[in-house]
Amino acid sequence: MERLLELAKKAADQAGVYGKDTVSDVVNFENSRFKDIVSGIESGVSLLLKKDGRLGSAYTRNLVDREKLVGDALVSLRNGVEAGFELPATSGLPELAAFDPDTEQLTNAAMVDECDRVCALLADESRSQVDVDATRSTSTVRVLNTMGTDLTVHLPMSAMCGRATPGPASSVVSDVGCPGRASSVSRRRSLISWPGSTTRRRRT
Amino acid sequence: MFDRLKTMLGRVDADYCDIRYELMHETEIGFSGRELTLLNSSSTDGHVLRVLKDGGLSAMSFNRPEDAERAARTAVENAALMARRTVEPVRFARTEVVQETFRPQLREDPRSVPVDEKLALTRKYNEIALAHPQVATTYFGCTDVARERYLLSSEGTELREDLVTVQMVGVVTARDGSLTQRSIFGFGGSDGFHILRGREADVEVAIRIAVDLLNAQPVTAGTYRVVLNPNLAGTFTHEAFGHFSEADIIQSNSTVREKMKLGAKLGNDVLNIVDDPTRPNQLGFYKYDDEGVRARPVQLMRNGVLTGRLHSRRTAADFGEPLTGHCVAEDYRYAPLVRMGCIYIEPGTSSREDLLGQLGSGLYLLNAMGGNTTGENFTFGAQFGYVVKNGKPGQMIRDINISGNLYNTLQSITAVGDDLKLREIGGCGKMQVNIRSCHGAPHVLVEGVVVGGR
Repeated sequence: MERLLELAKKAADQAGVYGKDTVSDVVNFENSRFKDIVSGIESGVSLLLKKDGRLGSAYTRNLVDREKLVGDALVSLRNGVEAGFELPATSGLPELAAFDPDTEQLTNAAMVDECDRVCALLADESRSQVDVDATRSTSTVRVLNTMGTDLTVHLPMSAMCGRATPGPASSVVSDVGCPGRASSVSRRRSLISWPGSTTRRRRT
Repeated sequence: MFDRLKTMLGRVDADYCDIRYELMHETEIGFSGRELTLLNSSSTDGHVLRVLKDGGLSAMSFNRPEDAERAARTAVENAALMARRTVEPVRFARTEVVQETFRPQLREDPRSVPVDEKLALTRKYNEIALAHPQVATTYFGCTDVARERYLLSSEGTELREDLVTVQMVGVVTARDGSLTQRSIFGFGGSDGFHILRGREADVEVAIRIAVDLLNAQPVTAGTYRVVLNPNLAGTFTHEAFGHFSEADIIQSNSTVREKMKLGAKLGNDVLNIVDDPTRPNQLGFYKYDDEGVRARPVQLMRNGVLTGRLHSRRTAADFGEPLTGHCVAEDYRYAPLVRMGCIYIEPGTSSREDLLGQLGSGLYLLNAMGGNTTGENFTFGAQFGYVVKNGKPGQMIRDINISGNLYNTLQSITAVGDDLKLREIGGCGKMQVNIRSCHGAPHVLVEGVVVGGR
């Protein structure tokens, strides 16, 4: 990221780089049955350039060709979204441990166990079709810019989403979108519980 | 490229595995009113590895080639975990092994159109709208996405296919005093940038709708006979019926699965519904899906009888039904799932005027605008409509919501027009956003539709 910033600095008045690395696992149970596990090791870098009061930006997943990324941002800058601001110079922020460290110890097997337990509990109480997803992810975000900002934050997260669908109704819930908007068939409706979750705890 | 992917797959100890690599080029432009608020042109890439082992299935996405070994290890561990814990081992239906490079015929590849030119075109359409004295503000967005997709499987499939999508969406807001009305529209496709050019007339229509809506009356609530235009009828087909045709949606739901048994008489005799991604020159076109299965047209309903379903390799094996080639991912970040490609009501023989004549008195409703489907029941908004008397559209109406039950409505479609029109922009968001999801219909006549309003 430093090399990208150095390169960008030569092409613009100000430059900022945003980088994010995420490792994630999602365990899916549908109708109380283990459906699949989806995992990811993902990264991304975006670049912001400011020159002559205009903004340019570009992003990539693989920071291999830094010159191309700067070039893409310059193409965007040439046509110019107006930038009525300066990139911030932020430093000296206190470190906040705003997460539960247990999250990082969570295994997929433990998530499967918990999904099983919640499915059994909800199915027993509601006599419904029960769908449950458990998610664990750890992200590291770094922001640096030519004004001297260099911030890194570590963001572990875990969550469980579930839904009980009583009666003969189907499990499909969808929203219809307008042009350019997403529509959805969503199974995520209510957060139930998750040991170690920073978002909400409710041990049942 | 395939050599690199072969090396990655070579690390996987499994019954079956595949890896999809995509290099994606994307340009996004957005105007809010006169202000350019978005301009981005980027290239990015990533992989999705799927592993099937002892009945356990896992998927793993990763960007960096150096993460391939870790990704393979994790995917195999996850599949093994599932294999130990599942009571229903996953099986894949057999498919043909194919080795092919397929690049669609494009009329103007957006990758070779300069950003400046895309920007100028978007600005031009935006300026047309902003020049109207009653237009208060606008949003115009132009997007093109080119996915260069490589798929390699342990069975020997080696596929390269390009998926190129362009779209222009617009929102025109007209104002009269404190009253504002909007018109939302879009155009685009998957056969090249040419489709975005020369569309000034579409922009003019959108302006006229927004301005005319300022003088429209809120609809009076009631139960009506209605004619739906192709846009609204296509949305109904996709949202209310189409998702139930996706095998993974109903796979675990015994109630719906029972209702959606092939051979069930669910619709009126006049109703024929198809999903055909192979239809050329439409938004949802592709040759192979993201499992490497060749896409084919699927007759979902014939004369009101359910005759087909959309499948992945997993659901085809589970249902014991033939593969259809409908397992599609949003892009390199996601594992594929069952999606509609291009779903539509097949045309009948009546003209729009015939249908309005058959309607006599009722409502003519146009263009979907928001809504939801919950189980068998749906509620959709219509952008606008007209009160029809003696077969002639009269007073324009607004603030329209229609609701109903899927199965009742399928029976209540009593006449189908001859003017099939397919949507040019997608955006289905079943777990992932599918910008190539295409749907359509001709005009249709529907009995007993509940219309919400004043």
